[in-house]
Amino acid sequence: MLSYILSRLVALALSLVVASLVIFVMIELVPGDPASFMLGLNAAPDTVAALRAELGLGGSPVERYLRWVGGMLQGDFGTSYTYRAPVAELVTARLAVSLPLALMALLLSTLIAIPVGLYAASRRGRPGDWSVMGLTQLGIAIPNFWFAMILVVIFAINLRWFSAGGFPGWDQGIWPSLKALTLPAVALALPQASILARVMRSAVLEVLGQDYIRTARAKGLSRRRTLTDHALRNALIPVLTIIGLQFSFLIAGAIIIENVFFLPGLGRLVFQGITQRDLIVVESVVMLLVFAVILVNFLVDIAYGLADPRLRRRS
Amino acid sequence: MTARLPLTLVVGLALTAVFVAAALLSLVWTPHAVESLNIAARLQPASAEHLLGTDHFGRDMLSMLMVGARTSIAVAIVAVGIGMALGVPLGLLAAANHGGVIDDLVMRGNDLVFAFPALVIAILITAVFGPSAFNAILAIGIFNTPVFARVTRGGALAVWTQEFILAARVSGKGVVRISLEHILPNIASLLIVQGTIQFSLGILAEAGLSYVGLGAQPPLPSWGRMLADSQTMISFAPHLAVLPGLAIIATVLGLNLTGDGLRDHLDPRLRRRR
Amino acid sequence: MSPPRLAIDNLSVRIGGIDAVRDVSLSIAPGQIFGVAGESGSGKSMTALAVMGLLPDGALRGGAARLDGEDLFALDEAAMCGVRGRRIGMIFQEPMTALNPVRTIGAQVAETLVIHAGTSLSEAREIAAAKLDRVGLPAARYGLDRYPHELSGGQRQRVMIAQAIALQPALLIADEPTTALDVTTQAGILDLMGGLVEDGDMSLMLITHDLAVLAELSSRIAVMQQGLVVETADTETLFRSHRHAYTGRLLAASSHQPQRHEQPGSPAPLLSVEDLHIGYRGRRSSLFGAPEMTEAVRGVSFTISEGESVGLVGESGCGKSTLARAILGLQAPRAGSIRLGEQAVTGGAVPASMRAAMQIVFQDPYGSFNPRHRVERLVAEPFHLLADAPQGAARKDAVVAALEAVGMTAADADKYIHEFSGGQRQRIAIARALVIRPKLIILDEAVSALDVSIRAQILDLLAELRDSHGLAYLFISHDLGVVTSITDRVMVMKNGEIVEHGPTADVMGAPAHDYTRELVAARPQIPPEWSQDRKAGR
Repeated sequence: MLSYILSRLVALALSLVVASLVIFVMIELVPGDPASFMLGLNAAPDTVAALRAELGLGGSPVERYLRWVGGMLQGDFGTSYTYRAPVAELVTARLAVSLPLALMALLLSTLIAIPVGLYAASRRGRPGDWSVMGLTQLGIAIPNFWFAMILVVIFAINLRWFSAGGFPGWDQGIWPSLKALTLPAVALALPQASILARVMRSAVLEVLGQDYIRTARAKGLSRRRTLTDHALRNALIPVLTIIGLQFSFLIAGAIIIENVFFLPGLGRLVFQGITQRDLIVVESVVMLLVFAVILVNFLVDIAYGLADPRLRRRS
Repeated sequence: MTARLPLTLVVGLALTAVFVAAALLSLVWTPHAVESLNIAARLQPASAEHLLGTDHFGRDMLSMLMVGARTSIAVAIVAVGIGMALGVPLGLLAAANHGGVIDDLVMRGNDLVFAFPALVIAILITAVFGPSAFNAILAIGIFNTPVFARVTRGGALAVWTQEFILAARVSGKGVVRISLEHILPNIASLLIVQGTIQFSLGILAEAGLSYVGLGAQPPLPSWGRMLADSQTMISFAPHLAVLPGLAIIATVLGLNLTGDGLRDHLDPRLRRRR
Repeated sequence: MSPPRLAIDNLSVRIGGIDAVRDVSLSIAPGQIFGVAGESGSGKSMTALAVMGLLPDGALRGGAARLDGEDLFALDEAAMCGVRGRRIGMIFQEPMTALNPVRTIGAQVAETLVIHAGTSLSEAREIAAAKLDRVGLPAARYGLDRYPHELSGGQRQRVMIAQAIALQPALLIADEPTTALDVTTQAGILDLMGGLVEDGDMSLMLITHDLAVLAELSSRIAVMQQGLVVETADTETLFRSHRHAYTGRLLAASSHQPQRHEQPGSPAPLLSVEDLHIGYRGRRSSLFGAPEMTEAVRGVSFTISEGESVGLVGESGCGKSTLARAILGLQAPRAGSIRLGEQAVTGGAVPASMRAAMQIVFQDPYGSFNPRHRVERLVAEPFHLLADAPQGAARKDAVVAALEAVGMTAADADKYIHEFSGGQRQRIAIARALVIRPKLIILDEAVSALDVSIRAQILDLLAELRDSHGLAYLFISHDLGVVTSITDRVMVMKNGEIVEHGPTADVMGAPAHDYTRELVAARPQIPPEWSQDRKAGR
């Protein structure tokens, strides 16, 4: 198991290095140099020169890349030109909204999907299965940000159970903040739960067709116990992979949904960064998002190793 | 084959056909010109003149939705095309080189691109080159590539283990020839099914990107933009938000049902049992 | 006579509109090993699943099955759960997939005890250890905490047996328990099952297509064909004087000897292989370490003369298929030379110009054709090896000639492969090998997947073609019986080396090497005097 984790760790580090290179090269593609790009065409030459010095644009691309990565490793993401503040501080503040939102959605969609998928599989071909399949088919087709808007109309504007948007901040107490994140998390989670429930259903059905299920039945296990004791754990293995893949969709979804609810998260930060041509902010946020996805997939790989003994090679 | 088409396939194809037809029709005719603003006739409810009402600039909603369908479908189709054109050859190559260096490189490259959701790619491209529908196509196309590479590789690996591939090799056929002559036809149905799924995901992604302003730019109507514009008016003109949303749902649903139906219809394992 | 342990009365099973089992009655006595024989589709597995109440959803079941007098079909599902695993144990054909891959073998054996007897987990583990010990997997060497993927096929089948007998059931049903195993492993498992029956008064219902297995083990046999029991008799009686024509055909087919003619004179050598070494690149032991090399074939040398039929026998993983791949140029050997007629290649892959004289027929009649091509295109594929391959009508004529040579018709050229049965597909595979007029055909387990009666027909066809086309065969198989019936000489392979080599009759009759002796001894056999009686009686 240890060598398995180590090999995954090496893969994690390599992915991060290559990802940072890709992002760096993209930003290097900016026409002209970043300083004049950020300030626009009418900027005075000495303002551009001053910004260039501030951004540390001197030196070869290799030096600049190493300086950027070295800074990030020490927690220094540079200084935002528009906010006049360290990007690390900006990102940390915004992360306090986006991360809980993505995690809430992930938790919610998993908690809904696994029992629903299991239920549909156990009712294969019967009305219970059809209704789940129909509803999830619909759920997949619904854009989460549109669903969010509809939730706002129903629960904020008409029923007035939730506020239509905004975020009180964690210092105002945990409950108000969680409440502000509830509608966005539900909007994010339901379409993902639909996909996951379908994956869960087909994984369970696939496993139920395996020889070892027949073995378990021949040993005298009831259908129900066969499902819980033998099918479930095997079926969770492919489901885990999908959960990992879904995390990147959730992050993207969170960024879009923050717009619907006017949440001060990473999405708002990065879109402001784009409109104000604040490349430092964009670069850092993108790197962070990519890091999050890679990290979650690493964790999924580890969970995979725990769930499937065949992956833990005895060395 | 005289086999009956599955119900899901019929319903899916019908839904998809409606929207493709609307998009094609919009090329030559729309009930009203989408460029014509008429503030006096803004936010009208449905009427004989405007079947689905008008928006906040007095534009005809039905016409907007038709042109929006064109944008969505065009972006998604081209993005699927990019994904297939890059991903399928990569997947075939990786499978042919199974366990080798090329296979490793392709798979690691895949994992890397998977770490960049379409939205993140779009953010990067937009930050550097500014927003446009072309960026949305590019971002979704790049995002599609590893999906097709992975599906192709998986399907191709399964075919490579079959004895008829060995028979072809005994007949002196090379890797390229085998890939094109034996592998590709046997994974074609897999790719068609995945194509419809990516098509529907592309529609969703385009809507999301246009909604946050990273996709189609005004004055080009697109479903995502219509939703973004409707947001501030949602309390007094909900139809502006509901209609484009329903259009997206119906199109995606149609494509997904088509994909599911095709899978049932084309899967030789299911066919043999009939 | 004591009352029967299991009595099946007028059992019928209907699945998807097809009568899989029709009016089957049989009776198994306490402590008896009862054999059920039949070819694929005869309904023998369905009979067992019906007794267990494990038929596929939607199957209809009629008749009765009484276990010690109690009608199992009258029990509800909950009561049947109490019967399965406690009073009837069952093991299946495919040991590689029959165990849950994510649970330890100890837990899977203990599970039987926990769910039925309510044994505590620690006690169940102790009993499980004892049961695993009984089936030849002592806990000291094969800990309870092993996972199935860490065990071989034979070991996994032993785990299956341990969990089936954990509660000393009155009846053990074994459905083709050794079909997927090598012959020496099979002998061990059969020994074990025989021993378990002797331990107590457990009855064993042994389902197999292999009459020789039943001849050795069972005391009474029911022969099934197309859902019916055509004959039931004591084993010796059945073999000596069967009454039903189908039983006779089955017996004749299983010991079938194709007509063979001696080759005249001393023919020229066709293929010679000298000191061949073939290696596989294994997985890397660490991330940066060099991949380990596995030698699959180690210093093999032999010669095949024109028109000669040579057998290559060995168990799975011995390197026989790897050797075939190297001869066909699919894999470059690490060292050694391969000579075919005038041409020779040393230390490299065999080039296409040499390969045109050799073709191969594979094991799987279902997987060895591209389902999307018509038969004409499938059979014509080897023309790719020829620089001046016939085109158009000449090509079609060649394909038709090859099809007709194997007993198919010209009309078959336009069909798709799914329109043919397994035996027909194997004929088409032979036609494909024949079409470019090779001098040597490698038959890689070419009849192993076929039922005995089809197998006999294909063996006859091969013998005919050898005479009519002057073919040489390299006949690769794990099945000593088949090899004996069709080859002049035989080579025995173990761990990548040829350990014994000689005329077939000599090697099989008086094996010199220990391993060959073990193989020959392990092979289940119908006592020869039983069949002599049969011939005399005819």
